[in-house]
Amino acid sequence: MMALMMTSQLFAGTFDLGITLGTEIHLFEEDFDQSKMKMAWGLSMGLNENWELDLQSASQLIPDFFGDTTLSVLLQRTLLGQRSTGNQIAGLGVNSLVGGGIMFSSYNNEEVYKPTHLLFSLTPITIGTPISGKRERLVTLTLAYNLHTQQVSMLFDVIKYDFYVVGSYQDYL
Amino acid sequence: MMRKVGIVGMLFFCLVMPLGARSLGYSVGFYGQSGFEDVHHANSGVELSLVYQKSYRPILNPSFYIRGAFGTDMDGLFVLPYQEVGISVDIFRTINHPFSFLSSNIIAYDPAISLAYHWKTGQEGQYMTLGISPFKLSQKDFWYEFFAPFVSFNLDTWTVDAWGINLVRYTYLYK
Repeated sequence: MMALMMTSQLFAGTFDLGITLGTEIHLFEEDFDQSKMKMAWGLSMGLNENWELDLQSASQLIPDFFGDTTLSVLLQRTLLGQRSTGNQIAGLGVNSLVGGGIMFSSYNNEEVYKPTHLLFSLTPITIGTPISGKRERLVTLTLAYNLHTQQVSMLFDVIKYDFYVVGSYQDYL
Repeated sequence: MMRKVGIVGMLFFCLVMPLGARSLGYSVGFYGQSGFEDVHHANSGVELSLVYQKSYRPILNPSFYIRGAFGTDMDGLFVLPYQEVGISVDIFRTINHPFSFLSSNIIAYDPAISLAYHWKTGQEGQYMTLGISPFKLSQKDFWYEFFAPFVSFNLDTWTVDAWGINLVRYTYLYK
């Protein structure tokens, strides 16, 4: 899949790959998730100059240290312009992200790990770009619709960092 | 209890803050904590601190802080779980470290340990908090801390009362 993305014309010149670290809180679904703090971690892949695919895990830290982990797959688009210029020009340093996806978890009555939530996510502020090597995503709000209980909950990420290992300015020098 | 916290906090603050202070600052952090035996006493939220750093020594550099936390408990109710007065000591400071990629500018790595007197809102007894900040990075007027665990002890019974983590904490020092 990675090889396909890196070699596909669709992604030519603008593919980037970042490691994501940050925070997460899951609100309004205490029947299944009683966590008070989660650590977000995963990968952010730039598909072209505007779209990205985020694979994000969230592991519970409080009260049960690494008690459970969810996995979210999100397709997101920038709202204010290019997320990456695909060359050594820095481009737009501030942006917003909007997107949707699906979350895998055991937050269902059977407590089986499977697709459980449809996600709609809005990140009002991102600072930095893949070209600069780092990006901060601030106060991300994600509505999560549980397919099994028909409840809507919310994921709130205070801050997430993306550290780009592929596609930064160093790759275009 | 709150009055006592306020008075002791003010006294401490006045003692460590000469008028000519150059390194007075504040910090905002995201904390979570859990009871050591009863996880239903868990809560998480925002931690606010006032910080005073008198010196900038490369080894064993101290700073002082007053800290308060507010957040939500397991029932989603707002709580003010604790207040602290303490000292944090940067064990060493170096710019040769593997975390340079986290910042565009030169940034120092200065892991720290902290010790604080700890008040629990609505609970009698004396408590102490021991913390470690293994991923602390600092610039002249800014500190970044990530994944800093802490443990609080009941000084009356010498037992571990709670543990927690500060996932991120940002400190800004005025100049």
